[in-house]
Amino acid sequence: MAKEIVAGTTSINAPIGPKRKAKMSLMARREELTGWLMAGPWIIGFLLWTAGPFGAAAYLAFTDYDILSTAQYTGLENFRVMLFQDELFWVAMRVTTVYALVSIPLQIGLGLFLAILLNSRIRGLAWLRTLYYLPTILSGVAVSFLWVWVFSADWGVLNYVLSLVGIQGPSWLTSQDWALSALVIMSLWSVGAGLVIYLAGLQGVPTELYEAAELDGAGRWRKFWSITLPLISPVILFQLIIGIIGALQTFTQGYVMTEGGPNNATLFFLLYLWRNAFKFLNMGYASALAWAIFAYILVLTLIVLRLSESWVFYTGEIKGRR
Amino acid sequence: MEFQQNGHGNLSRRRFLTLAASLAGTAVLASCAPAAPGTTGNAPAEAKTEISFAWWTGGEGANKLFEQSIDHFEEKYPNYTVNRISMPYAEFGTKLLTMYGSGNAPDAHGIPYGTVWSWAHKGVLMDLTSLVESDDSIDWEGMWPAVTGACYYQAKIVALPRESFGLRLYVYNKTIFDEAEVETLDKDMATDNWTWQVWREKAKALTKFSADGRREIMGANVGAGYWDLQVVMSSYGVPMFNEDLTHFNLDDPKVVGWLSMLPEMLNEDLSLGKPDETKEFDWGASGKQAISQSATWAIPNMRETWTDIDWDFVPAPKGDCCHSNFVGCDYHVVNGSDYAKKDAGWEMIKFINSPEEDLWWALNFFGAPFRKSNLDAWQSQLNNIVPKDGWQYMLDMTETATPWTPIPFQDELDTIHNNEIGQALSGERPVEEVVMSITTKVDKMIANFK
Repeated sequence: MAKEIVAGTTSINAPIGPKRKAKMSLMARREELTGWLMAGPWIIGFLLWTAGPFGAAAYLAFTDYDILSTAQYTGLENFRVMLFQDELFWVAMRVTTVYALVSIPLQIGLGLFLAILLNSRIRGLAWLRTLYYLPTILSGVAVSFLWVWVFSADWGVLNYVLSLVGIQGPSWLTSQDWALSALVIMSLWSVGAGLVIYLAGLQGVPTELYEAAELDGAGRWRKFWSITLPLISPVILFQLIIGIIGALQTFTQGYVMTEGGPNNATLFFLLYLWRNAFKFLNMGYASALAWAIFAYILVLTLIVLRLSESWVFYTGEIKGRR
Repeated sequence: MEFQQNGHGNLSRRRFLTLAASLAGTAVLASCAPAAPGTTGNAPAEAKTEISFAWWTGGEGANKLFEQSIDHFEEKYPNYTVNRISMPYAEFGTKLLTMYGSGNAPDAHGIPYGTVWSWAHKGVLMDLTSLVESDDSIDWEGMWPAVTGACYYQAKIVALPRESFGLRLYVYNKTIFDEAEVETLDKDMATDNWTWQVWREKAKALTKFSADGRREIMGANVGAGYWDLQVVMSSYGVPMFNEDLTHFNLDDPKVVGWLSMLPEMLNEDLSLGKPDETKEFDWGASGKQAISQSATWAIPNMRETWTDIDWDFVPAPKGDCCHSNFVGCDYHVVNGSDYAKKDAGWEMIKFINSPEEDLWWALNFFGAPFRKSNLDAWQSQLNNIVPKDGWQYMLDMTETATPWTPIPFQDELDTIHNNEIGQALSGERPVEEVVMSITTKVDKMIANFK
């Protein structure tokens, strides 16, 4: 019986004493090697193009580096300037945060609303789904140029539509008061990506629950609030986190459409970071900014995850029991 | 291929997968390895020195000239072969920066107006002072001071003038003037009446809208960026900065007065196009713009694209002082890094700047030659190549050209300035308020600039 030892498990006939790591058989070692080789290209890519730059940025954040000359160690100087001296750092933080705070709920709400509308056995559902998803796959730069025309004060579609109902539209992208709002409106163009995911979530809700609720006299709103929302709350959580990460890294619209203006009204954080890195050659400071936004996104994500315990329900989970 | 458990004879599945994974990993590593030098193509019979040279493409016509210029160099110096690197202007600075950062910047390259200082300040350019001073073929004093003045960084020569030096022109569409029965701008020049006020009046008179409100003719175009202000401020005799370069003179009353004209032209006269009108549509090349702000370096491109337009040109309008005539000169420099082929780079840029090439550029690019000695030959041939009345003003323009003010913080200033100046133009904020905001920020940036 002592010989009947299955690799990786402990037999009752094994001698009592300190545990020994089971020696891997030749076949197991070969399998492990094959696994590593298969994962190799990804691992190499990760080390070269993700972990490597991460580490480099971590070092450069504590230096004065302009690409053209050797990095000079400056300690916490970049962070001190960032937090206590650089007014534009706080402007960029504010612009980016406001953009995220407004655009994310709108995208979630609109995506969910459209998904509910589409969540019925209607003809051409697949086509509609594709149509809503199409904007997501278009080039960000091309879409930005398109929206410049949409927001044109004199010739744009948006102001024309507003004029039909007697409203004189503002000079969207050239107005300090309206430029950011314009970009929030533009963000709704890509709601299709979330819609597809919400749709999948909605179609996973058991219909028996709705039937049981109807038998108990629940109305439409009650069914939505007590059945639909809780059961798709994991999907909403996913979209919320992805939305936070995406919104706080907005760059293309600011770069192409407004260049951060007018008067820093659309100075997104990543645009400000890019400027410091590639226009002003302050790579060290830009690296510090990169770590700042990384920390900001990480903290927000952790807060959302922590708070999600109170409003996200997973199927089979009983609240209060872990 | 049959897969067998034991791996003998035919290739086993596990072995196949292992082999495939190894090959994939090797391919990834091989693609990351730098290319071995001198392994492309067959080795030449005689050893040639390869040098790399970069420039920005400013349109088809301009790009062709650069290619020809390098052909001339290779013909004259057959022991050199040039690795040509051209890229759009908008990407040039960033690409060059990353090339320097990665240690493979070209041996010689162009540098746009006003940025010689920025690059020299970073210590990447070769000091050419001793080479220039010891080379009799380079007649430094024989070149226009407005051009050579911007070749210096802290008393060291770091650049040679590139192609020809560009002069600011105001191009007008004669057909539009005739149809509107408005006197052409050469008449105003002849009576010494070509001023900014006349420019505004004529732009308004020439602007045309159709019955349904669509613009048919744009009166004029202008910007208020830092580049454009070089033209305006010099016309009022206002220097860009104070003497010690600590204050940006945007708040000079004459400049503010000029800037205040623009929102009126945009919103009342309707003679200037709004940003979304002009962003993607070339009114000038379409024959729908009466007066176009331009420069001599645009002429090679206009020869290709303005073929159906009856155009001519005059200098830029006059302010209190004189006709705006600033020099938009670009430069060639040699990479000062240890790995660069500095001798070869120097030969390259010296050749492009040589008297024969100087004249060739001036005749093909329509900017003035750098050398006063080439002036007669240049002037006498211009009208044969591109017959225009405007050439009559060229000598005056050349002799009175004002230099670009070299500053190390041009990118920073551009960013601050462009961020707000549009609000003044559109009338969204009062001009005085915008000007005060910009000058305060620029002065603070200068004070903190390192």
